[in-house]
Amino acid sequence: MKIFCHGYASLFAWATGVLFALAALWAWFFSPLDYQHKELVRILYVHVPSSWLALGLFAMMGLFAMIGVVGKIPVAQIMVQTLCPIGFVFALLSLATGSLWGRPAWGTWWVWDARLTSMAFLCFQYWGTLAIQRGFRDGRRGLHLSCFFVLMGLINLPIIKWSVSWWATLHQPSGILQPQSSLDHQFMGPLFSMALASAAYVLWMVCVTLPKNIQRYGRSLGQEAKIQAYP
Amino acid sequence: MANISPKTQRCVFLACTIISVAILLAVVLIQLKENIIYFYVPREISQAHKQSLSPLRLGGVVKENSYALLEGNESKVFHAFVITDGQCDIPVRYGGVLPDLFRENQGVIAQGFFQSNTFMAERVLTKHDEVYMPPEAEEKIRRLRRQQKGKDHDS
Repeated sequence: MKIFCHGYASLFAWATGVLFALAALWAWFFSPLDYQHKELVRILYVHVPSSWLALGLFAMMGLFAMIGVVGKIPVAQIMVQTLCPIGFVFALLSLATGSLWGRPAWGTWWVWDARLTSMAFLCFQYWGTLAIQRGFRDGRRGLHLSCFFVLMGLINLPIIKWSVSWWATLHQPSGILQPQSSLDHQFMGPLFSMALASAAYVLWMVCVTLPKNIQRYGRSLGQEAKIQAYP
Repeated sequence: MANISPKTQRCVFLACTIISVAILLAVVLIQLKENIIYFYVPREISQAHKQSLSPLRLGGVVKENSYALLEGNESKVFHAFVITDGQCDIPVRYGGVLPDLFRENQGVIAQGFFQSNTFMAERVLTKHDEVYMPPEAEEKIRRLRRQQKGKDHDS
């Protein structure tokens, strides 16, 4: 596992660097303005992939949490622990870039409409999961409980996704990932390159932190055995 | 019932908990609909809304040819325009600064009170749609629409 991760970590680090450079150059120099947002549309290339990843990573955490809790498999629970900080960063990035975009486009930094509120709640869920993981002297108990916390909160994902169609919101409805995308094809290239670069970043971070987390788990098991051996 | 493995038991327990949370949340969200929706469209405005003392949010599209910059008392300028949803129109007055993206046929959300039948806005936000295209593409579409309108007028 360690050797596997070390090898791939450098590969993904390179991939992230290259893809990000490509995406950034494409987005900055070789993509058009939008007819109404003008230059501001370039925030889309950061805001949209971060939002996708914030949701996608939480869904993956949900999957691993399910495996970890039902199957009682520690590695799955450790995957939840590994993905959590990465997803948290993307969720915060999504809110920050959205806010920066909203001030000129809408006229405000923030509103409590359904989409923004549920996204803010997702950030709280990420933060809560991190807190639970670190809040227990027995790390394994924290890990297990954080998996439950993730599972109880999974229902927020469909709420975030459909908040713009179920209720009247300031945030515009979904249009990019539809069959007849509302995004002109000239914007697609930089957008998907950024998405790929972010995905490579996730893989890189997982390869770097997963072995450390597994080691920490193993150490806590060793300590448990010591405590049990010498009561 | 005794021969169900612990794994299946955990699975069923988890599934039941998640489903109950989902149902509970659905019930709560449906009841809280009035608090969750961010604005009303003109056709949803009732007499009760017009007489309400608490601030209200009105959303719709700025009606074509309805915008004017007027002068009020003490030579203060204010914006006057009409918010429409295709069915109902509501005249709006606003004394502040309009956002950059404000223009006719653009989505807006105004927050304020009703004064008789005019909406006195204290805050105006623009709501944009999910369509992104370069200026040339938008020009093309606008030209096609104008041609279409011209054809409809002739026929």
